[in-house]
Amino acid sequence: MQLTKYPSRSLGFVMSLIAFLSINFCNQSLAQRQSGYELMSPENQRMQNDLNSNPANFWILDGQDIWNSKNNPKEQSCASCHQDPKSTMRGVATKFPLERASKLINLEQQINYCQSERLSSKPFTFESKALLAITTFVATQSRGLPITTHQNSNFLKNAFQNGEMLFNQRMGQLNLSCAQCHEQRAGLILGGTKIPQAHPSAYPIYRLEWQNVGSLQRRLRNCMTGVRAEPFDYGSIELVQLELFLMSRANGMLWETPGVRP
Amino acid sequence: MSKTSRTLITMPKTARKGALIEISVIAQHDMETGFRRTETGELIPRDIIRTFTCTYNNIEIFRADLHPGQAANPQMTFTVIASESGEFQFKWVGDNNYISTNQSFLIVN
Amino acid sequence: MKQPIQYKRRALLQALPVLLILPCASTFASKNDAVDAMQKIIGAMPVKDGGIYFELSPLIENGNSVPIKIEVDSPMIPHNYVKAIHVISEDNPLPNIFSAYLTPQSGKAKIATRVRLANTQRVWVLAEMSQGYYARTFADTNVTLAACFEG
Repeated sequence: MQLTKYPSRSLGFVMSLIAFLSINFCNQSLAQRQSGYELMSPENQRMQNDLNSNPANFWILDGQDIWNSKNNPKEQSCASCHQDPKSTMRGVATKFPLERASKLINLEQQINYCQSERLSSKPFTFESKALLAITTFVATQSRGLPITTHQNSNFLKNAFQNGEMLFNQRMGQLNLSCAQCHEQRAGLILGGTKIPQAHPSAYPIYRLEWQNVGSLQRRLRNCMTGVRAEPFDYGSIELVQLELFLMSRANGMLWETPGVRP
Repeated sequence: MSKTSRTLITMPKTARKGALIEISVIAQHDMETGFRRTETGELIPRDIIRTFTCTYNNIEIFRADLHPGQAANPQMTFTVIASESGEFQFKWVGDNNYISTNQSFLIVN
Repeated sequence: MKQPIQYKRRALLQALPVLLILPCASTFASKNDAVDAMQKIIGAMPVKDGGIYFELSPLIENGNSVPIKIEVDSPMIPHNYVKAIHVISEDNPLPNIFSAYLTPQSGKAKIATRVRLANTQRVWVLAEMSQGYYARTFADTNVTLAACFEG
């Protein structure tokens, strides 16, 4: 008797759920990849385009000072080996993460490798102003170039697969995976804004929410906090594998660093 | 103890006499509003840029009062008529002895 | 001996919700604060609505950095120019956000900047005209918050 009480309502609910889920599965294909830039207002886009109004420019100028600084035991600067960054650093950020000595490293870790091994200096702390400055300076030299990460080795293939697994894995008290929002529901509206596809093509970014420049790892950790998961540590293997997956997923998209994002 | 920070000026280097030119300025500053709290609940004190002035051959042509309602890394755009060649001086003054200055030369022909 | 204390405690508990609301109420400016702030600027001068182009997007992605553009109708000549432009918020902690002071050499009464807006609200612009009055306009906007609140 109780089961026959609401037959048409439950059928209606099931039908609309099926319809909703089918719509989402149609959105799943990222054949039309779209940068978060496209979702911004024209004013914020202009702020990103024009380095004279992009606050990240201040970090780039600080980074340039670090590039030229010989204040270390070796009394050498980045410039001592790499000379003109406009040519030597062009196309560098778009290749990371890479394998070095059987470890997967991102651009920040490569910079720290140079700091400790070549300049005999203490590595920069993750997310410090100095590391953000030098990373933004180096990454900006690739503005306009396509992302070109690769997996031309078993090591990188394994790392990519781990990153992919992390991207699709449910996490946190909200029990959500990256894919559920950023692939299945990309373009739908959540909290008044469209969900972006979550491409890494503009990092480090000046985020209006932070009122500061921050790295991709900062953003990933913020997302994990957002689903009430314990975030992976800065520099952890999980975050770098996720970076590799995201960069590969965005292969061919044009580099926008330094980006502005809300 | 005085502090300062980077500033950037965007304006043309030359202009025709009588032309209207646009000047954009941006300063690196967190503009701490004084309304935020630390994780333990203490108020973070206000620390903002308070005034900005621009002079053209030593005559003030633009001034702004900034408040906590101003965004971080404050930027402003304003206009001026290019009347004669000369120097533009820009000055930002703020809490805790903050001062930044910058200058730009305009050739008017 | 217990009774007087019990009455006092009851009175305090009854007063508590009101005591909690009062400090919270003063944290943010109300429409009245905005009206007072504008009145302080205008004084006894006459006010004319209009004559100001005020660009403020109706939907703001992030209230930390909101671009605004203002242009006041004025020939900007020595006897007829805009002396000052004031921006007033109805729902920020403080009503005064930004003031700019111009001269006839400004050529145009045209400014742009980025402000903080705490909430969906109305924002006012006052322009002090050298001819002895204030021009006034307003714009309404919606401020969205980041979907994944990071804390």
